[in-house]
Amino acid sequence: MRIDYTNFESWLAVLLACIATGVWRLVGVIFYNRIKEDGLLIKWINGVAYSMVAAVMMMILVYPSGVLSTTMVEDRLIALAIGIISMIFLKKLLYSILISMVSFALLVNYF
Amino acid sequence: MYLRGIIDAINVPGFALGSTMMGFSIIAKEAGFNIWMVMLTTASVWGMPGQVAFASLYAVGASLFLIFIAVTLANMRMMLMVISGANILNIRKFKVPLWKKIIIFHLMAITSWAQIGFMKDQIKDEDLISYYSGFSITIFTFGILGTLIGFYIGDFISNEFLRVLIFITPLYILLLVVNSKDRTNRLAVYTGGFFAIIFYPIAGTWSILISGILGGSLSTYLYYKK
Repeated sequence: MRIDYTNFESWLAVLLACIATGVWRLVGVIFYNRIKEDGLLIKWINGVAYSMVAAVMMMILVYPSGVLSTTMVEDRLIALAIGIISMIFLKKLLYSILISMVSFALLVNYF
Repeated sequence: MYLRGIIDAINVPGFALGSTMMGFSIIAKEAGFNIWMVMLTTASVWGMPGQVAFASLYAVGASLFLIFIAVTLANMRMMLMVISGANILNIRKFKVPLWKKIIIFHLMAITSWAQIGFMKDQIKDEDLISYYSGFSITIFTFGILGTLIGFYIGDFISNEFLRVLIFITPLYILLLVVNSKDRTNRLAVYTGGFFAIIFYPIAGTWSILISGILGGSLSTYLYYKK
């Protein structure tokens, strides 16, 4: 059953969500000023950042919620693979996205 | 360069992000947000996974404490993104006023971060900050517009169309990061994506943190072993 929040609680929730994100950005700025540039640590942080971004995106693609979950996981992964292969061969971001998007639309609606 | 940033943003990234925010707005409306709450959330949080976690928990009536913890965890990667982004932009080398720094780091989110990583070799260091400013402010405008449109359009647009729109954002960002010039980062993308698929069924949203650390450490280790 759904519990309704009071007006005050709703706005407090928005404020908390805002603080929960802002705090990390602030910590990032403070940390950056203490880290040596071009060192191993920054190399590792970059690696983890890239890895995490890929993880978030793969999570959205493989285990989606909302409207995207009405499509099949095979279709999403095939369209992604088409996009990556196009990117490797064509080296053009816009074309690769268009090719992958059109393939996805066709797969989802006609196969 | 500021203008080039704007032009690059009024392209796939702007529309991709606008449609993602439309998607968020539709979820949030279902959860019971009013228009001002949705708009303020997009503007102040400015990080998709945290926003979605927020709206999903709000929808089931979770306690405010749980919402706070979930959003905190979902957006922990902002810290790494800010450190990495400040490094790409070479913030320390240039005298950037405090107010500008606040805007730069507030707007630092996946799309703009991935874009500067992608453009770093094509633009001179001293121009990158103004390129980033133009790009990220435009992206932000698209995000806000997408949120506004999404709140009202959900009833008019068909799911067949919407799901293709929502597919663009993860696709766009994966293609950007997979094409990173740095071999270590490229390897980190493949390993992180692979680990996320394996760990998500076991660890839920924790899998992002686990995959990130495992993938990032593995790729850095392999790079230095050579």
